[in-house]
Amino acid sequence: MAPGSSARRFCFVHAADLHLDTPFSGVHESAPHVARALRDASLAAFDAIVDLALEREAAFVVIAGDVYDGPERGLRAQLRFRDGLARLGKMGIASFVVHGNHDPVATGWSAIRTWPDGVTVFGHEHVGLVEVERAGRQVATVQGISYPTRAVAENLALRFARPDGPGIHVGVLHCSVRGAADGHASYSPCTLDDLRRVGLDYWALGHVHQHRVLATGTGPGDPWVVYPGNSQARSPRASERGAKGAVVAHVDSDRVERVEHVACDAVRFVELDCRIEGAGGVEDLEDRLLALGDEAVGRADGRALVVRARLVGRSALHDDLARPGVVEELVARLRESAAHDAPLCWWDEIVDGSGAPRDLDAVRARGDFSADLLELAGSIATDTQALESLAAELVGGVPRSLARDLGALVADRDTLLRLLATATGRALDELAGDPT
Amino acid sequence: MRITGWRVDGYGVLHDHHVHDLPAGITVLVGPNEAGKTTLLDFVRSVLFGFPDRRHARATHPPLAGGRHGGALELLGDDGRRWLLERHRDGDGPVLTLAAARHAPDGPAVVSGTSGEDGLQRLLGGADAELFRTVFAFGLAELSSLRLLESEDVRDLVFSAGVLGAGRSATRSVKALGARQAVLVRPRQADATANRLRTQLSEIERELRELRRAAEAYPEHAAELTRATERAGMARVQADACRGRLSDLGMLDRCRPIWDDRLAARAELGRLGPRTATASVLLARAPDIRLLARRRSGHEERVARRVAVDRQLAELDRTVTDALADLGGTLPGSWTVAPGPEHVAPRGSSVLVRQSCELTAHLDAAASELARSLSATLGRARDAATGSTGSPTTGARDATDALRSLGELRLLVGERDRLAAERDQRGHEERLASLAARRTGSRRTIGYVAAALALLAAGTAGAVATSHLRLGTGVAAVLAVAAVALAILAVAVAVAPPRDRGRAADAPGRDEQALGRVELDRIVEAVADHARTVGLPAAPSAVEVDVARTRLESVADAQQRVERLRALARTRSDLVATVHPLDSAIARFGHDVAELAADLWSAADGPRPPDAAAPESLDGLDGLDGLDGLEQMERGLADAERDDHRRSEIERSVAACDAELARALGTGPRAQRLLAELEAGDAGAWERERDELAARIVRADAERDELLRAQHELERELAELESSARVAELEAARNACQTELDTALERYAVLGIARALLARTLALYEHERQPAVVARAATLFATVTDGRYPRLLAQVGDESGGGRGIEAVTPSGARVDAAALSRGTAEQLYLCLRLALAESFAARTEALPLVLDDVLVNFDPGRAHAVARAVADYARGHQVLAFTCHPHVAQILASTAPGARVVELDRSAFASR
Repeated sequence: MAPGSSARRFCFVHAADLHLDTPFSGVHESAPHVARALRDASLAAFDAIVDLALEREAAFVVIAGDVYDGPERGLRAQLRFRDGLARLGKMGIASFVVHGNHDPVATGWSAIRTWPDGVTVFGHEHVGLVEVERAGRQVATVQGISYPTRAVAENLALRFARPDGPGIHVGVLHCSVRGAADGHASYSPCTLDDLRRVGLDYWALGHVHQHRVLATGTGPGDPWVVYPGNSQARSPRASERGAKGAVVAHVDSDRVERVEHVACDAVRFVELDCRIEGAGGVEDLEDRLLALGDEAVGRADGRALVVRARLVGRSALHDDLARPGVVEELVARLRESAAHDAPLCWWDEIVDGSGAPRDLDAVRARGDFSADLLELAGSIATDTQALESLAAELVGGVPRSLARDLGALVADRDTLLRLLATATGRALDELAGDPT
Repeated sequence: MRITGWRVDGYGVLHDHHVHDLPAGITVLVGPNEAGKTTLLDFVRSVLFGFPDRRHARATHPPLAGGRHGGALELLGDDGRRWLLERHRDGDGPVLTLAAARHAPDGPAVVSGTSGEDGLQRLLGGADAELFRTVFAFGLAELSSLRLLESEDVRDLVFSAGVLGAGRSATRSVKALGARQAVLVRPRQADATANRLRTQLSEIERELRELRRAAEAYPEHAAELTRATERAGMARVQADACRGRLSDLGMLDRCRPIWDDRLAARAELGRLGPRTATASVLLARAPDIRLLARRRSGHEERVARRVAVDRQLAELDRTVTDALADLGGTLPGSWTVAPGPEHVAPRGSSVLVRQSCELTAHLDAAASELARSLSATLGRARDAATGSTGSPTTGARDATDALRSLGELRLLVGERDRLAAERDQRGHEERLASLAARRTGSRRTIGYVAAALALLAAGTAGAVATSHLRLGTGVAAVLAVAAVALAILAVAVAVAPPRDRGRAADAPGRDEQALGRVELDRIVEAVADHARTVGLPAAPSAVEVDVARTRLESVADAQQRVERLRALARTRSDLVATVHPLDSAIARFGHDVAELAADLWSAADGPRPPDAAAPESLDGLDGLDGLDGLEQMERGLADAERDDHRRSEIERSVAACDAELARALGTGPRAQRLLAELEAGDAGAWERERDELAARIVRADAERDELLRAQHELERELAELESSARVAELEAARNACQTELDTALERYAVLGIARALLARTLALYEHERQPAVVARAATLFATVTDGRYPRLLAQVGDESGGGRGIEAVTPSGARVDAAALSRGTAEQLYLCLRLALAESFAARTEALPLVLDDVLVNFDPGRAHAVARAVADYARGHQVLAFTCHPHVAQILASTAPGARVVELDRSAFASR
């Protein structure tokens, strides 16, 4: 590399939403080795980001909020974070951190009294600004601001301004860019135009868990606007699936030439749909599921997988699946089949979304008890009050200790409707005389 | 489905009982009591639904007449297929066999079979034993029981809510769902899945809260750890300081004896004081003193020898004096002879030399005089013979020679005289002449000797009288007398005629005589020679010889005494010669001592201070031999050396103490401080301090241990906090548990909603729709009662069953509860309800045979016929098996149902057929 080229051509790493030591949600109880892998996944992902920065000899690392998942900020997470930044600092790689809605400055606690060298944690009172030098030349100016509290309604982007100075100008912000943060709470809402008006070269954003490149910078007034996504999936939800990691921004002559998303996650979630039609029995179904699992493992680049399968379709096999313990037994057998596989493939759950080969119109036409039941279920589904009454009836039937959990479960209309649909089929199954 | 026959292998009183080809309508089985009607009814129930076990109150009907307990029913399905259902009490369950064709010659051919309940359930339309017993196969006792009609299944049947194909009743589904719900959630039951998960979740959350609190206390714990560490360090330092001090005190205790020794040594050193100047001088001159000391023995020996010499000289002087006195002389006037050994006074060597010289000279003079006298005498005689003169010494030798010669002469004279006598005897003239000649020579010699001696004596006497020697007058007189006597003798000898001359001249010669003469001549000649030698005549007589000899002996004796004196004088001179070196050495020694003493004086401290006492050791060194001074110096030196030696020993001891202290204490400020403490030494204070320190150490150690425990605990806690994944584990566990709980609650919700749907639909039926079963029963009941109760009302009651029941409504609208009806009317009502239920069941699922056991006996004839007609109507589409022991009942049934088959039973027929 020619002298001075390291000052013109370099890269920096942009990560966000580390949610360190975040427990996975929506995952069932698992074997100890799986629990360990899941437990350490967010920390391993952060370590991988640090390794990435070291490997790429990044000029600096920006972390755009939500380092921790909650105000409790696990001690292990804090120490691991500190140690990771210390590793960067030892290699001369500066790191810049802002806090987001999950780890605002005013809440939570800090076990870290002194940050390692090279670490800048931007405060929440004003936009902080730090110049970055490389090979004796100022190559970047990084500015950022943290959340004081969880709910920040202010458009913090408006506080940023481009100062004079050579190098690229990077803004680090945890925010919701309109149109890009659907499904996420709208904290520090802003628009792309708000960001463009600031005049920076690169917006290192956080908050949205999917990797998004909202704008590819073309020059002054047209910055790169990038969400790197979270570093490690946290649940089987759709937004948490796929590769997770960080973005490597490649800079040449004070311009970000391109960004590269690098997967750093340790565990991935996949959801597989498995049709039951044509399956001769549960054993056939198991073979189908294993084949699907193998395909998913092959696509995961050697990462551990947590698999959730959904059985769909209508078949007489549904009656077998509906028998108590059949699906659980199927899950246990799948887990056992993959117990010694590497990489890890953990069958978390099989959701039986299949149905009996029933013609509901025919049932309705019978005009009997089942028809009346179908009519009743239909009327409830379309009657909000009846739905609420049904939910209240359910909640009222459980001990007080469980009322809140159940209430939370059925408070969601969609969930309740889904439960109603499932229950209707179950009731018809019952009336059909299946001795389940 | 209907029953076309049976085979009773053994059941109660029945054994090997066969009935075949029962028709589809009414079959009346009539027989007396104990004919086995009720037993047969129970047999049908048992084969269809299983044998009652001990939990049931119903009879089990063990085979009383032999045979395997159980049997078979021949069944005809609605699809026309014939089945043989076998069941035995000792079997594994029902065995349902499909028969190939009706009336096969060799009985029912098995074309396929199943042992499961499923086929049977399908044949039975899902009816269970209870439903069958309640609705389809009942006796008078069941008929009269309203309770039986209130069972859930019957109720479902009543409200048309229980069946859909081969499904179960809505109520049972509700119950089943409820049961499954209860597995998931149950009030006050911790073992239900969701309850357990909720409890587990609460526990996890509680532990999480605690761990988070603990984690949030991390900074404070860290600070507390720092404080605890510091305090533990301080306590340790304090304890170490106390231990150090305790060690110091122990060291002080151990060093104390050393220090005391050092102190004692120092005190002794103080007492010894510093080395004095005199001691320094003495020590500086120690080699000289020691050299003198080594010389002292020689000195003392020399002094002793000197004294001995003095004594010897004194003794010698006394001897000389006595000898001189014997010789008649005296010592020179300067001599002083000590009267005895104890009175010996030392004389100087010069005096002694001078005295010796005087004595030697004195004796030399005397000896010379004697020698001259003798020599003169002998010398003349010898000179006469030899023509030479001798010295005094020669004279003395001459005297000796003369005496020897005289002795020989005397012998020769005697021999001569003997030879002469012999010659005389043989002719002794010649011999006498020879002998006379020889005697003349000897005599002459002797005369000469005598004269010489006389002259010597006279000369000696004269010389003594005139010499310096003061010989005694006695000696001089003796010498004079001797001289005179000798002179006389000499003259006499010389002039006297030889007496033997005549005998020699007279001796004749013959041979012997000639030989005698020759011998005599030779002897005479020898006598003459010898006589000449001693100054006697050539032929001296024996007397002459003896006289000369006596005289010569006197001179020789005097000469010898003089010689002895001279020898004494020489001896004395020799002794005196030794005196001077002795005196010189003694004087030199004294000089050296004195000189050393003088040097000591001058080197000690220069001019003696006027008030200073003279060093004792320097006194008295100027004596002759200086021995006292030397001894004092030696003593002083010995004292100085002893003191120095002791001082050195003490200093070495002090140094050893110091070295030991240095080894024990080391160096540096601590050692200095401990030395200072040793110097200040207060053992009592040390002891008190030790006790106090021990107590402080105990307290400090206890405090330190406590702090260390706290520190270790904090470190452990911090390490656990730092390294623990427990929070993450718990959070994962919490989420997993929450997921499990959500899943369980979702399942619970699905079951609950399904249950609610079923219950609400059921309630809808009960409240809003008139059940067809009740309507049919009302029609039948109105017919049976001839319009007395045209309607029936079914009371739904609550979910718990309360308020349920059937009410009969009179034409006027009055509602009469079934319980208020007469027994017969109520039995008619229940029979109508059962017929309606059976019809409904048959319409929805499967037509099952209706088995009636004497249910008409309580009806009046009119209503009995009416009921019989209703049964006959029912039997048009269903099989009815009517058992009765009353012939009129059988007649009524047979009369109201054309084509009814009547089977008569008797007590003996069962066992035989």
